[in-house]
Amino acid sequence: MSEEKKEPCGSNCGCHGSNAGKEGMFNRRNLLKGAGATLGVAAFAKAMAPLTEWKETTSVDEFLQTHYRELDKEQLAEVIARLEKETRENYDAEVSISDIKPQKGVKFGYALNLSICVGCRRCAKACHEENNHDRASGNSYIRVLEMSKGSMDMEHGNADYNHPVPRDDKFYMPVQCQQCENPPCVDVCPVEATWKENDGIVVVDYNWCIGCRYCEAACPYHARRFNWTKPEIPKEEINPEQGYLSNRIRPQGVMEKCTFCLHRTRKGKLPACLEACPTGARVFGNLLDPKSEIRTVLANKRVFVLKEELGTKPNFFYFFDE
Amino acid sequence: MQKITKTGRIVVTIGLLIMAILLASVTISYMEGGIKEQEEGLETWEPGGEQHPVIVNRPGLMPMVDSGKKDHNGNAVLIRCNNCHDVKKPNTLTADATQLDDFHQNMTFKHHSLKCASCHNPEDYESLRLADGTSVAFSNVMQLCAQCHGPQYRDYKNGSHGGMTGYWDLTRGPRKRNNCVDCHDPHAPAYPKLMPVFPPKTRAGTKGDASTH
Repeated sequence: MSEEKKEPCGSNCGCHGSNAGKEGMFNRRNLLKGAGATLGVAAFAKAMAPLTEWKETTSVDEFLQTHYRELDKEQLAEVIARLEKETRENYDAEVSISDIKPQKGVKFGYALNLSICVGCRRCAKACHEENNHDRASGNSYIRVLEMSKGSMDMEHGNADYNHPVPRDDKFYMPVQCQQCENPPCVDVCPVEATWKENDGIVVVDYNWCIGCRYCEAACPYHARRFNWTKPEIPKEEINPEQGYLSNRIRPQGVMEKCTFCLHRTRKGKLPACLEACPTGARVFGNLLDPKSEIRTVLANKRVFVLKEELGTKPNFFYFFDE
Repeated sequence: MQKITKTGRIVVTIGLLIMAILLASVTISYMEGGIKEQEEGLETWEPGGEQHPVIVNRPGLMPMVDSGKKDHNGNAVLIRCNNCHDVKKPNTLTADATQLDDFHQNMTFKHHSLKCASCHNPEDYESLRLADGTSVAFSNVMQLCAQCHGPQYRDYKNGSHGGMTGYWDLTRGPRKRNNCVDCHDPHAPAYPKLMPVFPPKTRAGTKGDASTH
């Protein structure tokens, strides 16, 4: 009875603290610790796997590249030189990548006359060629929907028609990025890889995008596309006039979208889809110029926007002739 | 004594709060400083100034008709209108190519109830004629079309009808535009039905494989 009462170890396990220490290192506590540490190391290794499986396609410079909007002039010039070099190596093509900034006093708007669109899909084809899309997937930022007359619900449009157009009981509605004033795709991006520029164009920094596709899910107009594979384009078909934020060849695993051809339109040119339109259904211009064609349309035609009830405030308008 | 301590506490609390707010605002402004103000590319866009031209595609001054024959080099032999019409008496009642005895017979004519002389000038077949009798050169054909197709002509002038290429910003470059007869055959002006190009290959938003339709 003279034995001293031993202090419990504190974990209500019923053991006696001082005894526990004497049992050596293979007690329950240490085993648990060991198991935890092993699991932790395994989890850490798994988390670091992308680094160990370092792909040769990702250069160190690319990996360390900062966000487009944090690059200063020299850094951007370096990045562009690197991208041009990579295009030379990967595609054997000489391209020039520009970075034209938005212009004060310009805000781009687009309008489309559904009365004269015949659904020939030349705009979608022109987009495919202008924007260096992957040839195999036939990707394009424009989807032309065949709609039943009397319905305005784009969700019921059919993009897969293949018969002489226009059919008398149908109308045709090309849908591309609406360059919303209130873009849901920008709101959901977890890494701010997509944003709205001052001239109204929603752009993506393809080198900052992590490819989570949240923006694709958020866009009510199904306007965003994902690069499932590395784009394959024959060297002679590559459009060499490229923009950093627009039609440069995108890496695999990133999102992309219509930019109103900003590499063209910021130089004052018309977008490729408009130039390809044989009927003149497309009207493009500066919303801030009261004398522009687009403003005339807005002032004189019965104009509507897609899914107005969502409050996205598109800068892309549709109209019918009287 | 007790009172002073209480006031002191309140003062210290307020002081701490102010310091916290200051610190937060400094941190936020520092974080935002990371993203630079977007620089503008060119000087502010302004309307007016020197404008590049809008070049409207015009049909040739001299209209020609394909005789259906080929010359030694395999080129089509084209004939001027007046080759025949100088010596032929015009029949202003002719309404259809099938009513002709020779030449132009295979032409489709589907333009409402118009007759040849509604647009062609029977006094000079190398020009056109407006409803009021004014003679108009073939190159100014749009003036003729606009007599009946006012809304289309208005839309054309407003830039919302008819294909174009070039610059939206005329201060930086010219624009080229089609004219009516580039797209509409004046003898059968309904825009022809055509096969769409570039069928979609992906399934997104579509009902399945395009090739099965």
